[in-house]
Amino acid sequence: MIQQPDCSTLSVDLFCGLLNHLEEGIILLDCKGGVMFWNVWMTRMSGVSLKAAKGNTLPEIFPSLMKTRVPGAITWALQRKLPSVLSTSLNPSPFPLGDDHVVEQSIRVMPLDLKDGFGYAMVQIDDVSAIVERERILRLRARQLRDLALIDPLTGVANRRRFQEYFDNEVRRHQRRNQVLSLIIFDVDYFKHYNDTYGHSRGDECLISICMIVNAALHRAGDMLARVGGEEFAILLPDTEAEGAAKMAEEVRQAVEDAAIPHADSLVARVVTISLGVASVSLMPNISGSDLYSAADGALYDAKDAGRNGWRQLKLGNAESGS
Amino acid sequence: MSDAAKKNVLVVDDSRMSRMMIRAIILDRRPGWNVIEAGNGDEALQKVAEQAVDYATLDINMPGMDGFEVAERLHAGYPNIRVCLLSANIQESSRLRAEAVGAGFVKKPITEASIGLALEFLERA
Amino acid sequence: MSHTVHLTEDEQDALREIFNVGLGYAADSLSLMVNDEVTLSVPALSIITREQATTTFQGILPGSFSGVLQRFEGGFEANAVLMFPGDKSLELVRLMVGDQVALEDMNDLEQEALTEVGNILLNSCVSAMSDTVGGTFSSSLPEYVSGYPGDILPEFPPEMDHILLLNIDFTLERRDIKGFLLFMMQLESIEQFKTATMKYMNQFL
Repeated sequence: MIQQPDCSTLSVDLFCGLLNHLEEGIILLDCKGGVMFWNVWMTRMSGVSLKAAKGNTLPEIFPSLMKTRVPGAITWALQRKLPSVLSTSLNPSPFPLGDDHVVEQSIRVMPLDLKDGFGYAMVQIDDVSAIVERERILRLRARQLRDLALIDPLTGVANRRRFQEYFDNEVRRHQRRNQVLSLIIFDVDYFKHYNDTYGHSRGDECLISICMIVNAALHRAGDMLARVGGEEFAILLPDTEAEGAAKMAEEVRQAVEDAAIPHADSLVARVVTISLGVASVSLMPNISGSDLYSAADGALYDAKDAGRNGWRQLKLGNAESGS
Repeated sequence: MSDAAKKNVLVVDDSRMSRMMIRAIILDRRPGWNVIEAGNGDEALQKVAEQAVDYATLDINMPGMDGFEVAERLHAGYPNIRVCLLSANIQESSRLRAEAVGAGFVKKPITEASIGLALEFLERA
Repeated sequence: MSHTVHLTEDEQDALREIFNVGLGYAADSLSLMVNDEVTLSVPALSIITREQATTTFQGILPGSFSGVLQRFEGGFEANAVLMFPGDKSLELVRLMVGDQVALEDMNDLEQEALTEVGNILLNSCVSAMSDTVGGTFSSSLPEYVSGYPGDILPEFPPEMDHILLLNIDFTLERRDIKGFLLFMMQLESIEQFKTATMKYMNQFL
C-alpha cells in the first residue's frame, strides 16, 4: 500500500516548485516586510529577480507602491495580524507588472503564523485583466441595449418612448417660453392592403423607405421623426409656426408620392401615399401635451376623410389668426 | 518660570465621556485652569457669550453644527479665543478647513499625548 | 437564558467613542482612495440578543442587504458583519468606483470593491477595540455576503448569542448612506469588552 508522505518529510524544493507553477504572484515577507521569497510569476511579471528582491521591502523594490494601499495593508498584516483585500476597481494596478500593457490586479495580504514566534505576511497577486476586459464589454453591451430601447429597431428612428420624452419636454418648453410648436402625425394609406398584397417583409421595407424619405426632408436639428404606432409616425417641429409646418407636411407628402413605391391595392393612387394631420400652436402657454396630440390626430382624421394623400391643419392659440 | 496663568477652557464634544476625559487630562496638566463644558455647537456659542473663554477644544463629529462650523463662528465672533479641533479624521480637506480659521488640528483618540499636543497649540502665542 | 444587556449613557458614549475613532481611520483610508471627503460615524449603538435580532432587523433592514463578513478571534471571538441595504450598497460601491452604469446587480468587480470597503471598516474597528482593551486579534479573510438578515444570522455559532449592533453613517460626495455593523459575540465577551472600555476611559478620571 502506498502511503502518502506527510508534509514534514517533503522538501522545500517541492514546495517552491509548487509555488513556482502557480499562475499568480506569491510573495513571502518577514516580520520587517522584507522579501523572503517570491515565485517565478513575480519575477517574470515584474522583471525583478528573486535574488535582487530578497531582503528588501516591497516599497524599496517598487517605489510607486508608496502611493498605494499596499504598504498599509502589509503593516496591518505584520503588526496587527489582520488580512486585507485590495480590489481591482479601487486600486488601479499597484504593482508595476507587465512591460507594455497594464496588468489589472486583485491582491490579498495575509498574516502568516509559522508558529515560530515571528510574524510573517503573504501577498497574493492575481492577474484579473481578462475579467476586467470582459466586464468592460458587458457594460458596453448594456449601454448599447439601453440606447436601443429608445430607437425603433426596424426603421432606426426614435421609438414611442423616446418621442414621448422629447414631446413632453418641448411642450413644457413651449409653456415656459411661449414660442411656436408644431406636431405632424401621419400614417401610410391602406397599409394593411399593402401588407396583404406584398407581404410583411415588403411592408417593413416600405416603412423603412418612408422614414428615409421623411428624414431627408427634415432640416432643423431639433426636428424629430418617431414611430409611434405600427404604421403611424409623428414629426415634432419645435419652434416651427403654422406656415412652416404646413410647408413641411406638403413637402413630405409630395416626397413620398414622388418615390413611387408601387401599391397596386391602394384605393387612392398606384403608389404608396401618406395622410398627415398637422397641429400648430402659438402663444398658448396653457396648452397640454394631450391637447396638442389630439389636435394633430383630429387633423389626420380630417385628411383621411377628405380622400387621403393629403394633409389638414389645425391652428391653436394665436396661430388661429394666421392663415 | 512662572506658573501658567489661570485660563478658561471650553471643551465641546457630544460625548460626555470624552468631555470628562479631556477635562481630567487638562486639569492634570494645568491644575487651576477652569474647564467649561458644552455638548454641542449651540451650547458652546452660548457659553462664550456668557463668560470669557481663552481656549476651546472642539470635537468635529457632532450632531447639528459640526466642529468646523463652531470654529468658523468663533473665529468670526470671538477671534481672541484659540481653538483646537479634535477629530478621528485627518483628511486633507479637514486640515485645510481648520487652517482657514486659524484652528489647530489634533487626531483622536483622546490620550495624554493628543491632549498634550492640543495644549501645546493652544498656548502657542 | 439570554437577557438584554443594558447600556448606561456613559457606556454607550464610551463605546461609540472607540468605534468613532476606529471609523475615523477607515474614513481617512477611503478618502485617499477616492480623492474626496469621506465621513464615517456611529450615531448609535445597542446590544440585542440573537432572538431579538429577527424582529429588530424587520424594523431597521426589512429588505435584502449586501455586506462583508469577517471572523475575529483573539481577545474574544466575534463574527463581524457590515451590512448595507441592497440598493444602498450598490450606490456606495458606485460612488467609490465612480462608475454610473445602471445594471441592477453588483458584478464581481463591484462585489470585490464592497469587500474591500467592508474590510477596511472592520479592520479599523477591531484595531480600535484592541488598542483600547488590549489583546491582539486575528481574522479570516473578508467575505462578501448578501441576502436577508433573517437568513444569515442563524448561520452563526449558537454560542454567539448576543449582537453588538452599531448604526453606521457613511457620507461621500454629499450622499449619506446608512448601514449597520454587527458583532455577534458571546454575552461574556461583550461584558468583557464593555468593562475594559470603561476601565480605559476611567483611567483619566
